[in-house]
Amino acid sequence: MRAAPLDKPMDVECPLIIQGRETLPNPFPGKSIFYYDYTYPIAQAGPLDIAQAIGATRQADRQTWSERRTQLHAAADAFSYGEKLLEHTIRITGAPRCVVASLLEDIPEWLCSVPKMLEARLNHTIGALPAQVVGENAVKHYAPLSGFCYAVTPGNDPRSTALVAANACALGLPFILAASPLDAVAPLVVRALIAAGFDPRFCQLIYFRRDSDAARTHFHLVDAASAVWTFGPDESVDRTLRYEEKTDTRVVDHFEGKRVLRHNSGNCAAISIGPVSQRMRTTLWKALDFPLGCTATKTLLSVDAPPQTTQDLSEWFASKVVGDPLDPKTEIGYTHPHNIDLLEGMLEKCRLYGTVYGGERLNPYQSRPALIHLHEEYPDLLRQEIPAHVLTLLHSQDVPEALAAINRHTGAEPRLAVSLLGVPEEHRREAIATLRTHAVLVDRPTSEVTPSCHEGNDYLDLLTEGRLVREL
Amino acid sequence: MRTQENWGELLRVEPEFLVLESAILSGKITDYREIPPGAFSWHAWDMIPHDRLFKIILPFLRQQLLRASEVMPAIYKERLDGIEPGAIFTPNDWYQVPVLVKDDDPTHSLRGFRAEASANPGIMQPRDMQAPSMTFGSGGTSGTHTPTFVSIEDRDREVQGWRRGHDYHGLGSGDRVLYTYNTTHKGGQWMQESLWIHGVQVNLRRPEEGPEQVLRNIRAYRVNVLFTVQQPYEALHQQEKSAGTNLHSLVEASLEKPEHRGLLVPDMRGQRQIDFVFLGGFEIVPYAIQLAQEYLDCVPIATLLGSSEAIPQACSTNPSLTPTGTCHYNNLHLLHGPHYIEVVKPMNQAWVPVEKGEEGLLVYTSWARDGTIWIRYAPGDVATLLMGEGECPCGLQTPVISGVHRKDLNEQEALLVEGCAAG
Repeated sequence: MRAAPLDKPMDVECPLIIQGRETLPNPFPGKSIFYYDYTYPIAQAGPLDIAQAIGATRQADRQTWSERRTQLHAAADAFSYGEKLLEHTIRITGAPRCVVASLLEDIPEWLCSVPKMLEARLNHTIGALPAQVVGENAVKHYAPLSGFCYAVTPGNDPRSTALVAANACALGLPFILAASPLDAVAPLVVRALIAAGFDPRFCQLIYFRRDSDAARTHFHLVDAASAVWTFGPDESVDRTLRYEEKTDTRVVDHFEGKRVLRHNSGNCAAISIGPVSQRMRTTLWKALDFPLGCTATKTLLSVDAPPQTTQDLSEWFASKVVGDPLDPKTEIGYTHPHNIDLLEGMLEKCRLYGTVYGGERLNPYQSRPALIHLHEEYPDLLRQEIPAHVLTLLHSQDVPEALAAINRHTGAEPRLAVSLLGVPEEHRREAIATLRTHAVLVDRPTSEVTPSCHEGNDYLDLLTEGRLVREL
Repeated sequence: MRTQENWGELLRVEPEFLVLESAILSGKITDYREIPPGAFSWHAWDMIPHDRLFKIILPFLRQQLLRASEVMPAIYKERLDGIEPGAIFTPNDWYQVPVLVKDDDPTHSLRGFRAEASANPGIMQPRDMQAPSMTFGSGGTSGTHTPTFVSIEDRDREVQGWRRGHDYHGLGSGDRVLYTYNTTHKGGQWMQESLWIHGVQVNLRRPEEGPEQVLRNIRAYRVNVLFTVQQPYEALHQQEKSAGTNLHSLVEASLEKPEHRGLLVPDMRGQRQIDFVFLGGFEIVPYAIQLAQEYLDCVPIATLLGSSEAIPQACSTNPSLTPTGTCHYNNLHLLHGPHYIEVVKPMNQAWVPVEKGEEGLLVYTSWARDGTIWIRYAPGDVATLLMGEGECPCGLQTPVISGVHRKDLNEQEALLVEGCAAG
């Protein structure tokens, strides 16, 4: 347990951290859509702040692989947060206290697990560079990418900075992270990294208001970087972060020549065999309790489920405590009204294809969790990811049918993850071989992220220059 | 660069000036054209009290008053009606001469000349001007610009006058200057000329060269003095206005590329090649001062006030040379010669000097000018008299003004961003 209530809780703010120096220039107010009187200051990086950050990364000491992995473990120990930060994140995400605390607890876990996972793969060294034995007398070594990584994080998940930082730090790539104005956790992560011994020029944090003037700042950073880390659907990333219309006929592709990391999958699903046991429910709930996240399970394909499964699940959903997310007893907090509108619209349509349990809107920001039992496949629902508390249940005759249904309703991008709950060994192999998904979790929730390899991105390959070395 | 120790060498009345003064007061010199242009580089102009200065320039004030009515009748015949040049003996007499404005000022019953000059720019050229002239436009931010005609000799006088500014900024032989100014503007051209004849090595920025190339040139040519433009912080958000080479973009390029440290932005050892930065424009904007303090280790900066109509008018000194002086940044010593600079307010029918602490109109009279004659011309700038003559601890004797700004503040930003300062 790393939460450390402070005697004097620090006020939450979002400063720039450039070369280890924290400043709050030209702050603009951040707001919560759920708590109208809650504001906090966010620094607005100016052109010279950006220039300093860029210049700093160019001089950053990348240290050795050994030093970096030691420091990441130290950063995990150094990371801490207070009650104010916890409450702030609740107010911003609308997620309940237990969920937010769990997300924040993931951060030190990720900072540690990335170097551990890489250590397991990088079983060799060449000089100071980590390497991997790939064959007889053949070793692939991984040099850090030249330049720096520019990352633009979203505001829906407070762990975003940790995901970027853990990988960039482990792999020796300095970064400038433009955190979402909704993310006040980012400074804590960067402070922990610096406290652990990373060169302050290695890890820079900036904020800027994401309005029409932001494009110039953003594209300047993209152009200066060698790698760009993005989150979100390809369509919106390309529209807002990649292409710039210079004139009516000329469009500039700022991603050209860059390593681009995309995180655009989601719409996770699960397959369960037999009754949905208490253990399965516990696992499922871990994948349902944070619907804003891309790792939330949206569809459950149930095979060989007894007739009362739907009733049991609907009663289980109905028992969830809906309330003020700041209340420790609350299990379902606030959701953006737009997402509730989306859910309401979908529930209305779904009544033609199945039975809807729950889903009643309680106020602009809340609805009861919804269970949609489809009697027939409704593609619009099965392909769409609704960021609200909703689970679609579809009964399948057997595992192959469940696998086919999942694949049938997967879009161009594979799903982020599929959980196999109680699926026997012989079907697991088939699932792993045939599912169109980046990750398969066996008896684990889809919300369990493998931070060194998220959404199909193998960061070891993406953030390094790999070279094969063969010797006689 | 001059040092604090030899600043005192500038605080003198040159023997040649005494000879000139004697010749003028004795009547041997009655025409401003007999004053060698180099005389305007003498520091004596800034070291004598006003009463003494007035006696020296009086014959030429009268000369220009007479000339103005005759050779620029469209502008002055009616305005100077009733003003008898021969009847002007004292400053009080001079204060009766009306102020000339470009745009109508109903408050003071002053009629502007912009419309007439716009319709027929030739009225701004004196009829007796024989020598070839060059025209420079000004005041375009408030309407059609009006021309100032100058001769080569006018140029010579003004660039020599500017040399005093260079001295007060500490420049001298052996210094290497790079300037980024727009040389199609009069200020940019005069800057180039005045630096050159002042004996410094001059490097100019080619139009196609951006901030990075300028920094490379600073290194390659071992430049230690930078003349550049500035932008108010607000203008940086307007992309088309913030583009170009200016102090901000040079600092930005230095921060972004570590190989450029040590030129303008100090390197890790705190060393910096640039010893002094001249910032032109209407004023040294707060953002420029902030840049100098935050990123440039308080590099000395100073400015010189001038316009297409008249250069120089006033200047601040290099703070490192005059640490006890008040004349830093936007506190400017008046620079008389070849123009007579006043800060005035209306009093009854006259326009009299303001008292210390008072704000008034900045006016100038081009008493040594072949081209467009300015008689107590108020271009629309106001200033506050900060210190009276002899009061500034730096040792220069002329009054110190501050808070120079356009009466119309919107016009001020436009001038800063789009005027002669625009690089």
